[in-house]
Amino acid sequence: MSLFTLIVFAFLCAGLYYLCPDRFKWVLLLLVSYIYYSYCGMNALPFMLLTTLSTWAGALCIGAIGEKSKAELKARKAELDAAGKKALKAKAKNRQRIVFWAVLLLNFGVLALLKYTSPVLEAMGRPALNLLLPLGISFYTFQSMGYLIDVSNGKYAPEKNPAKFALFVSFFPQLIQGPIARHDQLASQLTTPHRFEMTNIHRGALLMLWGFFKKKVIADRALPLVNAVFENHGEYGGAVIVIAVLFYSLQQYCDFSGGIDLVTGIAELFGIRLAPNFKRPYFAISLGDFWRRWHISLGAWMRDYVFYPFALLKPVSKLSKSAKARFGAAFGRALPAALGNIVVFLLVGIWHGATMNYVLWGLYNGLILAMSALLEPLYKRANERLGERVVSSRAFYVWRVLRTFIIVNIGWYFDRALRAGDAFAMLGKTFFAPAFAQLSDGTLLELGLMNSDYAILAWATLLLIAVSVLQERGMRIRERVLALPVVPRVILLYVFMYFVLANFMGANAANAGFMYAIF
Amino acid sequence: MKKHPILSGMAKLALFLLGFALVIVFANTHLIQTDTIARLTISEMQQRSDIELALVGSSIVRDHFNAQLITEETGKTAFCATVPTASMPASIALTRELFETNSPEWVVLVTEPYNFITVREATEAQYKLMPFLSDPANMLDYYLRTCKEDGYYLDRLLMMRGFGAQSISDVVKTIGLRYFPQKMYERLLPDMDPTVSYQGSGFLRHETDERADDLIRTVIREYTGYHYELFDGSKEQLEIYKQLCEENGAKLMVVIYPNHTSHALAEPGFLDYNDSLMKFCAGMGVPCFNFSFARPELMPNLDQYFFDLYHMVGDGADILSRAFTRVFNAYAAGEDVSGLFYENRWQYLDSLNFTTNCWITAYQPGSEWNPALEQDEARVTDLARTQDVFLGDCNHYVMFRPEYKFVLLEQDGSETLLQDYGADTLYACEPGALSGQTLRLYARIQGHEDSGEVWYDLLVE
Repeated sequence: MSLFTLIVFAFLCAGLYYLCPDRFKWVLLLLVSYIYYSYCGMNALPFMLLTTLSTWAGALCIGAIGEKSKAELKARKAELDAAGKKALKAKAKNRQRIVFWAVLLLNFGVLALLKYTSPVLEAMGRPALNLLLPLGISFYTFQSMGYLIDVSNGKYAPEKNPAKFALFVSFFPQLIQGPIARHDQLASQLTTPHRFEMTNIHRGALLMLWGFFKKKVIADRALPLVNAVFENHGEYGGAVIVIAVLFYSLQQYCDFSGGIDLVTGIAELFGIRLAPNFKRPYFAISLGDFWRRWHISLGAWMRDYVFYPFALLKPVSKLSKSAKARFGAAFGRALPAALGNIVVFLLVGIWHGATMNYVLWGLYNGLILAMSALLEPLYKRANERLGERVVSSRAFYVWRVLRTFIIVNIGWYFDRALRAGDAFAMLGKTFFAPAFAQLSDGTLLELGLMNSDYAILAWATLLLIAVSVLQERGMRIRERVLALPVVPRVILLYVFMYFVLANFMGANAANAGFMYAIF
Repeated sequence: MKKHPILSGMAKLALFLLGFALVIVFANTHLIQTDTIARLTISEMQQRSDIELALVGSSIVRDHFNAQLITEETGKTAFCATVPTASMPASIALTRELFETNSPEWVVLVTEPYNFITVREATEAQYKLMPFLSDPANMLDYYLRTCKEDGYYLDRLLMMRGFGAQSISDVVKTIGLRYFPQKMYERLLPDMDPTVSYQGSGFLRHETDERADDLIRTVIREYTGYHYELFDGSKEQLEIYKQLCEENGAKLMVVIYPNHTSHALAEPGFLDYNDSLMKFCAGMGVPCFNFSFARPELMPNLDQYFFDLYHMVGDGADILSRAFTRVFNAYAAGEDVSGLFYENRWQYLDSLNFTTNCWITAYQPGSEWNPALEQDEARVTDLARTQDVFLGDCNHYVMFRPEYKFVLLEQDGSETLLQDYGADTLYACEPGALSGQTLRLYARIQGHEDSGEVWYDLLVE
């Protein structure tokens, strides 16, 4: 479904939603979500149904086992001693564990099968299989498994109504590329009927427009240059490669966060608030800070369901204790976090793709974060030596932002390169063969962009930076715009809408859908 | 009365979007680029009410039909109603605009193959015409008609995207041409191409020394993608056009513009298209004259007057205009004009005893064989095992056999004969013997040595 069709579809659905009687509103949402998903590919539907039904049934089963065990404990309270109670609990826990792992392995197994079979076969020199990768499979699998883990941990009771759970898995704006929502934050919003409020329409439409601007004016316009350089890097020197990496920074951010703005805006049309997924990541002052601002919902998922469980594993605790004894308390305390970061980013790398460049990209991020955790006492001491005045100065802040930006961009070489070897070759050229002459010999005009494209990109990026700076300072732009008197508000919106309409990249441009839709 | 939140909200939203639609309309009419001559033509047409003979079409009509000359020779006030790159949708819209202020006795629809190779119309035509149409219904009909064929609803709605003004001077020009076309034209004239002059009545005269010979030599053989068919959509639009003329009391005539001979030789489909169009017009009861088939006594071959692949200089336009008026006057007087044209393609092709262009193919061993080549595949592949092989080729009709001469072009411009006419259609030499040198091919028709020769240069790698 094209972006325009999606936008029109969203407004139509919102119209129907508010006309629909309250008690059927969530049913309508489920219906349009399945219509949307079927429209995007009927053959992907069984996979989503499998995840929905297996997770719903699994969670229900886990809950029932727990309830049954509680009831049995209550009934046999008098006759059971402490050991008997413990045995009964352990038995129930084991049964829950079996169900839990069966559902988890089934769903992640399907995801892995569809996502990694071909790359693995290719790596083994065998022909790839033409397997279907359903739209948003990673996102709805992660979201469903998060729910399963939460139910299994007793965080909340399982959803009894399969249709309501199906809506949680399939809510159509989210299917494209997340964010990965939590059941306790989203499900009740989906099933609660929302009343029409013009503010929701204004806010949603504004965010959709901003997302459209980021995706269609910036990301899609920058894409040809990124593709041209990364796919033929042998023809270009380091200077052009650096430009391509910077463009990739911009393109990837605007593609992903623009898409998230769009889906968040669509959700707001229905009065539903999705959790934020980006928080101006290029203003981060450290790599850890960057990952708390970039794809926040995946980061939080990894933190809650991988990082903490890993750090709390018995062998890790043991390792931490022995490290404490050998290398000091600070090192020992930081070790689980360091190892956890490596594991998490290795997984995130593999989630991006089963090729070595993604593995290296994950390891690069994980190792830097691990080093940061382990060397934190040193940083603290260094900062103390510099003094409060320096550390809290604007120059120091800018330095930290720039430093983080460079670290992140070095990682992007591996993220965007087709092969790990390409990333190393491009990095080598960046430092040892810049070929600055290519910046002025017309090469930049042979990368799929004309002078007018560079000019539009420059203006659009300046606007993006200006808005981001204001947001970073705490200004709530949408609220400020909507609070303006009618005339300046309308003029401002008309000017921006005109800029977007005059400069967006059409459907025939060299752009695909959203980058993360294929994850 | 209490306001309904949904209705009042929707009303506000609708008002907001309506306002934005007006912004887009303004941008589409004032913030886009404007084709000076197209605007002058439309403006003049809108101000006149005396047009008796309207020639409608694309830039071909603008450049090739001298309206003053036609007026003098037919006694009817002629006007060239044209929009560059126009196809049938623009012709329909433009003719509707013509009928707003004029009641011509005759409408002559001039077509070229590119009007009918597709039902679609280039988006370029739209920005040159649509902003200046006076009737919103005509504007909407034109917009929907073009979108129906190519589906570019958004691109065509947002013309300022593709054809937006690039500078302040573009905006000034657009606004000037919109409200004061003649004054603006006079202001722009000193900076315009001095070889081009707008003569009034929609005729643009080109007085350049440039000719199409070199272009034809290198370009014409590369055409591959055209499919000359008279599509159902084209037929439907022709019928609409006929009905439009009838409703406004005008007689319709269709003229097929004489394309450059190289097109006829290189693209035989062009002739199929002509046949289909003439047959369809005959079926509709509309007179249709194919000036590609004009006999020399009506009109000499016009190839020498083409300054590019499609357009002619003023002298060529005068010759064509005279030929047209002769046919028009005779037809209007009820005379039989069929003797002025070849009866069919075979007669026409039989009259072409010359080649228009030639070229060399450096044969690459293992490459896919082009069945259109006149050499024997087995012989060429065999030779290519031990030698570099260069194949001569040219546009010629099958009834004639070409012959080739291969020469080496020296740096001082002199020529060294490698292989004379009649020896072979290919030239083979030791591998690498010609590397870095320029090989020139001459071609002519066997038995017609006086029909002239064409040449082509290949820098051997």
